[in-house]
Amino acid sequence: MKKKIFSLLLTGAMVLSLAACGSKPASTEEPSDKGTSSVASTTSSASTASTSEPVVNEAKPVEGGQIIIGDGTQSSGDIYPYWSNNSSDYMVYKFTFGYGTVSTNQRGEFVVDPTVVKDMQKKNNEDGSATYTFKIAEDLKWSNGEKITAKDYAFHLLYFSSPEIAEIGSSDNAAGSKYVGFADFNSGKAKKFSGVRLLGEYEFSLQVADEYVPHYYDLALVGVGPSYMKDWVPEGVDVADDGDGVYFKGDFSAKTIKPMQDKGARLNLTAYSGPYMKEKYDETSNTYTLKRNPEFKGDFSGQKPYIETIVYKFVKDETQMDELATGGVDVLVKLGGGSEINAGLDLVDKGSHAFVSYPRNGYGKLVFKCDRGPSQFVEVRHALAYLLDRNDFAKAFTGGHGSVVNGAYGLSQWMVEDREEEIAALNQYSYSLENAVAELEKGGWVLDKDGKEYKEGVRYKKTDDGKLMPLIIEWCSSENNPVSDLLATKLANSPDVKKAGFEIKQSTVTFNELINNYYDLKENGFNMFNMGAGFTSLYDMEETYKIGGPQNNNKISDEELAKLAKNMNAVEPGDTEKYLNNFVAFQKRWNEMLPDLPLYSNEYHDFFSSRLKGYEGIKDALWDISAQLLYSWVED
Amino acid sequence: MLKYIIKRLVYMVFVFFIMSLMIFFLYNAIPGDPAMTQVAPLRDKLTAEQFETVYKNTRQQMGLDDPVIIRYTKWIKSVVTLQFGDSIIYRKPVTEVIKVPMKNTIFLNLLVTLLALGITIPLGIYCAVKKFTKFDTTVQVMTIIGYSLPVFIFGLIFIFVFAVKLQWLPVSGMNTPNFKGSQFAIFLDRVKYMVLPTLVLTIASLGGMTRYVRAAMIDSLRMDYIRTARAKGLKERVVIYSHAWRNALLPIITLIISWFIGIFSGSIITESIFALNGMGLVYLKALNGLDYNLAMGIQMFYIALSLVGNLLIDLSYGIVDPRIRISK
Repeated sequence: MKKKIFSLLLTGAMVLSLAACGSKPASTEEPSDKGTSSVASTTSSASTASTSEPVVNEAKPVEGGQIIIGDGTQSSGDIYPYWSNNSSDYMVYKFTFGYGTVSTNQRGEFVVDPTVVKDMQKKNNEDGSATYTFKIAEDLKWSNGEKITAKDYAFHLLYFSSPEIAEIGSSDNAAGSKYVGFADFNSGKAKKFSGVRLLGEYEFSLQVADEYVPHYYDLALVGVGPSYMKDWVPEGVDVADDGDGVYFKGDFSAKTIKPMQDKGARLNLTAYSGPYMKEKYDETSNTYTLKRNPEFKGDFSGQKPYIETIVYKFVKDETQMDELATGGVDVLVKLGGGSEINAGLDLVDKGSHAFVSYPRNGYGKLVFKCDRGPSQFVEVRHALAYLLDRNDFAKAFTGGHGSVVNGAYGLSQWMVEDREEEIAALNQYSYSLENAVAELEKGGWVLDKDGKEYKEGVRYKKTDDGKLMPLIIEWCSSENNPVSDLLATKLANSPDVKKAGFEIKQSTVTFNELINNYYDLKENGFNMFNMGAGFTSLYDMEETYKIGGPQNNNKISDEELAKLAKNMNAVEPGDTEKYLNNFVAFQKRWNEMLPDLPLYSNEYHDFFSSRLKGYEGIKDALWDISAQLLYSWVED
Repeated sequence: MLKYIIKRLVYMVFVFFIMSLMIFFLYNAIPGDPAMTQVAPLRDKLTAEQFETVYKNTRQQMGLDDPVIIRYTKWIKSVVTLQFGDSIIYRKPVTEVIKVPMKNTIFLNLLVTLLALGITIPLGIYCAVKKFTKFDTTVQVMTIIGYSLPVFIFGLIFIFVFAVKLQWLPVSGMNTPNFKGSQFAIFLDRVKYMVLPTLVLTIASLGGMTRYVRAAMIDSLRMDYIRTARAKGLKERVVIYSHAWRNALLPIITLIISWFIGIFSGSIITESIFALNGMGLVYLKALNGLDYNLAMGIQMFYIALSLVGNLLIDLSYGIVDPRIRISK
């Protein structure tokens, strides 16, 4: 009897162990391709367009209350993106810094923010550059009641472009990288930033360098927000302009500004320009508490926040749904994994929570290196596309909450919506072993290892130098990545891949090593990587596909693709028809050349407590919680 | 005694430097480029030439282009002066970065250690005295289960039962966000959040220690001097606590001191499950982010702690067992 009880207890313990070991949440994302996603921006976020009004619930909003947002990234308390590169901190930055000259609307379109800008004049210069002169509103105030003037905007560009901040440890000193004179100022050759002019108490101008003119998204290049000078430079330092560019007057040097940062000045900012102010950061629990900014004049439409307090709390992926269910947090955003979405939908069924869903503005992808090995040949890339059932892959990875794209675009982009039919007509590379083999044969992969006609095993091709090249793909994947695991099953070890004559060799490395290989920081023979891509409102592919360019991580040398990428944005702003034609032409060529193979694009879900009203306005990934929460309120 | 301590201190300094060399060269052998990790976000914003300049400057600032011996010299100087350099993830001095996580870790581990020792020592002694009874057998089975199950299983089960189903305790975190109240109310709020992780860590550590104490006590109770003590007609309580326990303490003292030294070490798994900002998570983040200064700083701190701990253990032998004369 005793033995039986003992056996039962042990069996129970083993079952518990196995159950727990098998329940790994599928929320781990693939590494992001830094080449196409951008975290920090000079543009502040409080804004939107006049063309697309945010959706506001018809019920009467209530002021006050508190909402707790859960975030899976452990914050650091350092919100300024020029130092921190943390998505959670950046969200708080978006809540607390506003009054940018240019904003994006719900469709991701750039618009001049009428709350901030009284007047904007654009002038094309003879040297090819363009000057944008802004007159800002005179009633803008910092959260401490002090007036916001043009000097605060000029200061932002001057300080966050200066070589001195790099010297004291900032990660980004390229705030004014699109303006004339940046290179000289940023390198320390010049003390004046000639492209930025201070023209009056409420007037300043920005001179965009000729290489960016014309640019369809020209407004994105002149989006700049203010920074509160006293938080960053010691007394006695000021911004001045003698007629040839702004500069620092007084003792501005790494030596004089470092002590402020050593004392934690940027962690204890004293003035904010956004809808909220940072009240405190609790380092013990990595939690921000934000309070409504009483001086905030509103976003593009004059909208001020209703909710009094926002708490930004660190939660773990494993328990975030429990936090939501028990009221530990009120909102979870951008959930993309199948299991967590289903758990959230269960809560919605119970009536305690609601949700909004919207497409991710990006995708998980296979990146091909187009300058080496078999992946340099377009037929091989096509063949691989035919050998992966991407619909099945997307369904398996996202739990049915995702889809497949066929170009370098995100499903939240307005261009995709406007040219839906042409985008839908792109080659989908539907699963087909026959098509894959046909592509390989077309590409000359018709030999075996002895140079004879291919029968079975790995295919070979005779290259221009007369040597035989085997059809072996060296795949570099990062560790602990569920996308890699699924790819190994559905692609690398697929019987049809072998039947087609491929061999895919997987090397699993740390994320940092993968990045080193991806950026070619050390010599490597990898042909294929699995990564992620994310697009911002400023869609610009020129550098990504420039032949020989450092951001051309595919190393693709296709004249036509490079030309289309360069020309896409070289359109006068407002000529939307021409821009859209360029966009479609680029997507078609991209789809033919297939430098990457998009795998899945998640349908993101935001789950929120039923207490939160008016949150339904989020329709795409470009209009996020930091914008929509201004239109939301809490009903307790 | 003093001579022994001085000898040991010299030995510790020697071991510390050998370890520092090993740690430094091992970390620097890890593939990856911290400078590139730092400047990668700028790739979108700068031209090729600008990016190259920034990258080179960053490497220079981080001293990555210096000969390895110079890098080691700079680093060990910062370690000896307790500076440890700046963290590249947090962009502030390592000592600043670990201040709060260390406090959290010590707070949690101290609770766990005291609670676990308070339970395991009496339980182990009782089981040894009542060995092979039903109670002892039950405890043995439970301790085997407890010893075998990974800590995250306890964590998830406890969260499910006490936080999700019964809703008695919070799921994770260290305090109620934006909590307002008196100092005592804030303390109680913290305690509420600490109950689950403390319980999980305590239960996870009961099995090993209980079995260890039990085994040491059983060995001790078998000794001739125990029989003699009983034959002398001493009370059972005196036999157990004055004679048997004192002798059983010698092997156990090593564990107890290790536990107290361990209060500085974070538990990656428990901290992850309960979203606690402790040393385990910081260390993991440092390793993943190629933050060598931070990771090596933490590592060297633990090495110093282990060396001091070993010395304390050796010294404590002499206190617990007068037969051991460490000065000899």
